[in-house]
Amino acid sequence: MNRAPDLRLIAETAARAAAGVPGVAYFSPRLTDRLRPARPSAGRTPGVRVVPRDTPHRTDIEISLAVRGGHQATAVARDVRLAVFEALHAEYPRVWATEVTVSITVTAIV
Amino acid sequence: MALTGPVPDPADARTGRPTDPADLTARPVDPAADDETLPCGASLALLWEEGPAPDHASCPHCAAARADLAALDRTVRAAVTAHGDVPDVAARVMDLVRTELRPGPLVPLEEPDGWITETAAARLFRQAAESLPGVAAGSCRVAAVSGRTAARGRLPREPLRVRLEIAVDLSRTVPDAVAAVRERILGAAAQHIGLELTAVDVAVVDLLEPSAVPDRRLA
Repeated sequence: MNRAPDLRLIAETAARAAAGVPGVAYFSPRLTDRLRPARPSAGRTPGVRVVPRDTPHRTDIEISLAVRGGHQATAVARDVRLAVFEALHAEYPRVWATEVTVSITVTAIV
Repeated sequence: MALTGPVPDPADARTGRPTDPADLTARPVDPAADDETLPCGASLALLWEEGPAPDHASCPHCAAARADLAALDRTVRAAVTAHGDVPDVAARVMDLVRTELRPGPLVPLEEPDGWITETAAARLFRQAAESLPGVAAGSCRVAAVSGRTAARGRLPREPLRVRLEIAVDLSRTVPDAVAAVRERILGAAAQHIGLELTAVDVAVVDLLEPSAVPDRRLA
């Protein structure tokens, strides 16, 4: 049964995995996450965005985070990508037929 | 589930659906990766700088966001005034907010689909320069050596150059100061970002009076 998991669950799994990586200081919520929206949107995961795409058929996970000083940004980005893949693979094995990509944007070194 | 191979060029046509089912009907993904958009599709940065777009004059998302930005501005100024007159801080905080709205293009990391905002890189480079006594750092930009501009908010995966403007005192010759700053920036880029810069252009744009030491506590 190839049923794609709920996007919010994917975001939460990705966020948990990324948060466990040494060198991740915090997620960078977008300003739009912090400003009160006119229509309340429940359960956003700050700094983590899951975007399903049609052309090509793919699920993109976009993570924005701050890197802790003393850690190299490139290495942290790599470790986060690997941790997120591992966590998604472990929680949703063989569930998806689509490719998943993880992109990481470092917004600050603190 | 396939692990990702090379990521397709983000300039490829993309359609994306908002992840939040409470959002309005599907809208195209904003092409500028670093531009904040409200659920109605309006740019938050433009809203703040220019007011609501003509067709968003009665948009509730725009109105709410604008009210919140105004409240933020008022709150910051009030807090600063309450703590004594440091008007510079209010301006700097609001600059930080603006920076968050427009963090500049994304600079590619060695890591596939890893990026750092130009703002974050620039801050590191300015700090590296100012770690030298008698140096005050100014504008700092990152660009492709080829001159290719950022597409969709991202610099190309190509050799990069950093351009930094500095002011210096007379404790060093200008060439010595430039060389020292260049070395610090190359080192910081490698150590803290993992970025190998092809060129570092340091331009001395001003001379510092001996007493004009930059206040690094506010940096």
